[in-house]
Amino acid sequence: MPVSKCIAESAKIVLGKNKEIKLAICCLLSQGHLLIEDLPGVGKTTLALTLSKVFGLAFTRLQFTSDLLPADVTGISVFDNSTKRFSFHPGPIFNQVLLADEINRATPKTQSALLEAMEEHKVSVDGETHPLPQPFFVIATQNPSSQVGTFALPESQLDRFLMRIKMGYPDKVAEKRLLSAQDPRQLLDQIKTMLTADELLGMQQQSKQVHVSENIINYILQIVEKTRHEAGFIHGLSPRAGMALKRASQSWAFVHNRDYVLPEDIQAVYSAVCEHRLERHYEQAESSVQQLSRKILDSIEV
Amino acid sequence: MRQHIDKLKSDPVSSVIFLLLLVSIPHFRYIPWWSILSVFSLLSWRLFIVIKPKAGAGKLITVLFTLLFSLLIYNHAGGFSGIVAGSHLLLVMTFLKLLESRCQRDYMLLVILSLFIIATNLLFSQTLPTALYMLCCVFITLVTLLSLSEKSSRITLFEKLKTALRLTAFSLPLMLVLFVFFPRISGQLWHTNDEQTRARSGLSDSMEPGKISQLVYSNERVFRADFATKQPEKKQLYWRALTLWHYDGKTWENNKPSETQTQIHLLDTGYKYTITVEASNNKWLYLLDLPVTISNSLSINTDFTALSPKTIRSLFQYSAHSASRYYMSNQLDSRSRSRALKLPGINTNTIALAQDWKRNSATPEAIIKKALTHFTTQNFYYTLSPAKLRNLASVDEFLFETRQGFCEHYASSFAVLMRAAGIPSRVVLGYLGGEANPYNNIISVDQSMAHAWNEVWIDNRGWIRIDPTASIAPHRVSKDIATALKGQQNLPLHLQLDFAGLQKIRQLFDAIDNKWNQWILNYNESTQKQFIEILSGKSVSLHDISYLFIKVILGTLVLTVIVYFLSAKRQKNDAVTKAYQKFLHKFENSGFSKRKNEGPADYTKRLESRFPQQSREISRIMNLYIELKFRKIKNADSADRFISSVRHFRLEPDNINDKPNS
Repeated sequence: MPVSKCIAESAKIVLGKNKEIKLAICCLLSQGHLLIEDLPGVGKTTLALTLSKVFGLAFTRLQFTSDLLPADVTGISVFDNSTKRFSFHPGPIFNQVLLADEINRATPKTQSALLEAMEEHKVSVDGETHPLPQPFFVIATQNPSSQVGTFALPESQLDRFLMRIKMGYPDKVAEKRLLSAQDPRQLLDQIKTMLTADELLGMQQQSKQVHVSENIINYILQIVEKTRHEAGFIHGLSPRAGMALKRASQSWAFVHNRDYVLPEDIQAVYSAVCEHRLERHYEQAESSVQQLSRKILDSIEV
Repeated sequence: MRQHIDKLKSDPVSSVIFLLLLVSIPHFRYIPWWSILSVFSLLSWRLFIVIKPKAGAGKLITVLFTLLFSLLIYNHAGGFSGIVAGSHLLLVMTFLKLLESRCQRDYMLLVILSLFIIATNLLFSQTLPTALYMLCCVFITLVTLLSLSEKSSRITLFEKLKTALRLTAFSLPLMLVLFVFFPRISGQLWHTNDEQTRARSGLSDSMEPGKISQLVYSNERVFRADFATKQPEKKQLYWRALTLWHYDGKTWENNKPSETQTQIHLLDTGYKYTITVEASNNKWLYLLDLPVTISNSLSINTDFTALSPKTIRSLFQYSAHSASRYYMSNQLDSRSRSRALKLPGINTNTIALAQDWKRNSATPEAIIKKALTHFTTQNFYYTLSPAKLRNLASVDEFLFETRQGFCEHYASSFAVLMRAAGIPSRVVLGYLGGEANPYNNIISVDQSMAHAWNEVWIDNRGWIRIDPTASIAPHRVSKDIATALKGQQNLPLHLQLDFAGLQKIRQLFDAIDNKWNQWILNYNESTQKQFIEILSGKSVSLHDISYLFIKVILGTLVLTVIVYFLSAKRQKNDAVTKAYQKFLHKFENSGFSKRKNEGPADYTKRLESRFPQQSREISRIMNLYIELKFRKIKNADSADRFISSVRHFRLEPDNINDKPNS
């Protein structure tokens, strides 16, 4: 199974983060975009680099800063003296994998330009539309919004990321290996590319065929319904979130070699898919979004 | 002996025999005694085979029996056509089949045959009790069918009953649709029906002493009357059937004279009512005195009676309008007058008495009054068993010697007296009274209410009803015959019994029976047409009804199939969920019950590590569950396998006692 090989290969570099790797791969298979939220230095970039290497994808990294302009992301039309015409110079977004580092440090204007391109899978500059490459996968990283100098992404834009994962610190064993072995970034050259882009596209299609039974649909409906009636949230999950939950669970089942979705699959992708779309009322902040959304999941019988 | 009984109990043929017996019992009414005997012999033989399997009949014997019975039935019924011969043959051949039945398949066939036997019973009787009995039979047939099925050992009797009940209930809507929309054809489909052509008691077209009093011994219903207007008083319930004109000294006969149409002038609105006549095998219709109009393209004769165009062999319904106060303005034509005055030259004493009255009276009314007073003052006695009249001059003998009589005696002698006094008169036969059912207000008239009275012609007033019996026995008119005859000997049983409770039950049943008649048996081609016209809002023909029927049937079939598949799928699903709960319940005491939000795969892993000895069985069951609930492609037998696996799964006891190692 090519997917499990990819996971195994990635795990060689990103130590002790199997679940995060799997989730990231699911996100890729579901044709969604990934938001990694954590402190600097926990391996966000390494994960992105590893994935693009393993899946054989063209990779660019774009560091977002407060003075980054939309054109720096999408590209710019430049007047060509020899042809006497404007010609389009594609920006870093024209890559199969774009690592948008520290996305919340850019101004909302630039954030919007990126997110629009993510949603539409194309870029329009000076009235011309330029399609983005296939597959197209954005991994955005963001520092916790409490840090200084950040523009928090509004919920409407967060909704466009299929998943948000948190890397967290590696466990002790992994960290020891990390410290005692070579720098993972150097090891990157040694790992093999397991797939071609076409194979990845094929897998994306296959994971779409994973069977979602009526029972699972009902389960998703119950979850979505419950978040909407939960007073602790400002608003519940959108229909897009429900679809995302379904799609991600399909990929999760696919990664685990099944052609049908189990409730466990929903549960596995639930927090990655849902938590960034939910927002607590500030005055009732005695429990976090995570705790509350977990409570909802636990209260639904399967 | 005990082991024999056990053997009989365990053999499925016992239940089949019970069923066959149950469905055959109604048929014993018409099949000859030797047939009933053969039926019992055949089933006893079959029971004997259970105990001694070698006692079975060989092929040759079976063939011989078949031929023998065919011949006997052919001989008995004079052929194989007709419903009696047909049903008889079906019944006997079914029991012959029972004799040679050995296996499951044979028993199934017998059960199906018993459904046919049940259906043939409808050809003989369509009453409510029959229908209820048949419904019971169908239900028991279904239960038997279920107990014969392969899975029967796995389901309890209660479940069988429940399934049979459900199947019966499911078939009801289809039955209703078939009943309402199956195109009805006019005319009788079954002509050679014993039940319908057998002799019945009832009025005859002549009257002689002792003829009506015989009818009192029958409490068979004659007709029911449902009044649309308010009901007349009991003493006005004179139901006329026919008029008798000709008297030969002994018998009054019904030879109709050519009477001219009489002009009736109504003095009030009268009564409107609908009458449902039971099968009577004659054509007389019963009308409240005095009928004015009648429905159903029937017509009222000049003597205010009506006849059905066809012999009444099944329920027949018509409605009519009768007047209670009226007079007739025209004159009696001479031919009728002479007939209404004609007397044989006997009964000279009577004639003399009448002529004496005539000389001393100014008006016909005075003569009539004298005659009625004569009955009340001269020790006349109303009785069901009067002394026999032996003389040729029977009226003389009655009036001057015996003075005991029933209504026919009084009607007869009064008519003779009137004719002798020059007043045109005739005898009217019919029924007097009626029992009003408190449950539906329908008046029921039975044979014991048969009555004879008179009509006299008085110029400018017309035919006037005179009931001489009313002078002698006023209770006969104001109450009923049982009261009028109270205390007399040799009364028929139904006139003696007077339990209010029993009567109530009878009346309730009668009310239900009447509804059954009105709604079920009376649903013929014209009522169907009316009903469908009401439903569709336009006029329809038999053609349209047939098309509608086909459409409705096809529609119902499609709908049934869809509902069946949907409900079957859902039920299977429900059963799986139920079984899963059952399975989970088995772990409840082990400390390893499923967490609320725990998916089946996670739980399987947990159970497998906890119960390694049974891990294979556990994972097999859980995988079946996962397949049923979440996989796209499911094996056809997975649900059954899952349910039965859960049923057979037992958590090994040593596992339960261990403390959870969490």
